[in-house]
Amino acid sequence: MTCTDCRPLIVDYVHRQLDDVTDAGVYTHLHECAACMQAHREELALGEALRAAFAPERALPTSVIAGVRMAMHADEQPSFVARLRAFLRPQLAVPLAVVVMIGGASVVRYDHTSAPAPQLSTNYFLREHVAQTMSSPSSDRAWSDYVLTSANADAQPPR
Amino acid sequence: MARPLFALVCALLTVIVAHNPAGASPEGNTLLQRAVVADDATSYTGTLTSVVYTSDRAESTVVNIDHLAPSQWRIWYVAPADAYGRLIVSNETVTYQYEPSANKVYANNWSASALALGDALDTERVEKNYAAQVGAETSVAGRSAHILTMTSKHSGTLVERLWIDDQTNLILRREIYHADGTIASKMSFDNVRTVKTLPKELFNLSIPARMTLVPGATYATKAASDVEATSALTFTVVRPKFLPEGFALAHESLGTHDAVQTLQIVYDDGLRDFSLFENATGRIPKFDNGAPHPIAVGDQDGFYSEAGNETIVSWNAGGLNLTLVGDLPAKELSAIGASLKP
Repeated sequence: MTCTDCRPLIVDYVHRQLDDVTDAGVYTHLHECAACMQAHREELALGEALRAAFAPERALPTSVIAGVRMAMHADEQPSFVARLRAFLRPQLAVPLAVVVMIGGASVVRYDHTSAPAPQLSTNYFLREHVAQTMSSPSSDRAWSDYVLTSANADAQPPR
Repeated sequence: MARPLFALVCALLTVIVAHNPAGASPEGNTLLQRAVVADDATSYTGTLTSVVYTSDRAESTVVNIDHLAPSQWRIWYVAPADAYGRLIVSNETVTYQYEPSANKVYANNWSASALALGDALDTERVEKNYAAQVGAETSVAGRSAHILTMTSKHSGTLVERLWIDDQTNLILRREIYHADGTIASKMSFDNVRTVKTLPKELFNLSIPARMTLVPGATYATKAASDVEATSALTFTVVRPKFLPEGFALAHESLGTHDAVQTLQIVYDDGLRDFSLFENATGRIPKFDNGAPHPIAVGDQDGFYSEAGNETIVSWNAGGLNLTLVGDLPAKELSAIGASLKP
């Protein structure tokens, strides 16, 4: 193997993408050629520098931080006393008293507007993204179809 | 006499370099255009393996694939385990998924969501953002091919490599890279054989005995314009003031899921893309792919995770939940998110 053969293969060699024969050829040449070995070292250094630059900073285990923050942001369920207090607030109690006096109300309906908003899932967002970008020239048809058809088992008939 | 000649040569070289930054190759762009539409003209049968990599794992699909040009597909999944035996038959308008484990055939009318495959390559945008270089001759699955390398003209990083069949221009192998140079995903034919034709019965959209046809999942419909997408919204849409170099608005869509109205805005640079989702729940979504990692999005606390080769970043601001999904690093998505001011 010559330097001209070796140089274009160094990136693949670093990422272990070469077949066994070519890999062995590059390995042998690198140990015989100082210039190509230097190019190999520079490729390794570049990869390490990029990895370091994009590595997430971790002061605590991320799962711990995520758990704490998720708990902080979770919707708190009001206690029974809090719900009763809200129910008896004057703006509700006065109209209710009127209704009771008239004798027309026996059922109190739960006000649906106090229900928490539905929580979506990241799978929903991922599938919508794949669905809207599967015509992209970089899209992988087999993978995209797998992601989208995996949602079918959960699909609800249209209403 | 020599000095004016030298100056003239230098000037010519300067003009050539300035006109052709980052070594963009006209033949590379032409080859890419041919490769993207090659399966419109070539029928084939083969085995295709796809792998997507995250920071701590890899996920893979292996399919036997029969393609009758221009638009008939039959894809049979060998892996992963949860898809083993799944058969997809598609004419690119209607797709039937045969699921033997459930005795069901799911019908996906993807054309209703304007998801037609084979959209024309945005040549102008690709040429503006990427240098396409034709590399060494090689072979994939026993077929001679050339490697096409796509490098970002803005960052200088390798974004994608394609192994393109010399005879048919089919993409025999593709590798997509993260911004840090690590591989994000790859697909490659283990074997492939081009054929003049295939039996049409292979591609019949029929329902076998004892199987039931049921509707598959539906997806948001691509809007004809941003006005159409946003006119029905019950909240005020926000748009990013910062986009990575080369990215621009591609299209918008509006969907409703679990009674939640969600706007999706897609941006792309010709090869890569990301989606911005907006809804009025003000709730962080449930992360399906393990515990999320915390990340700051401007002044807001957000979370991110990896799903396949996509990164998902989500946070709440101004009563909205905002979620970004794309093949960009979490830090870059966070920078985009920080420019959103509800």
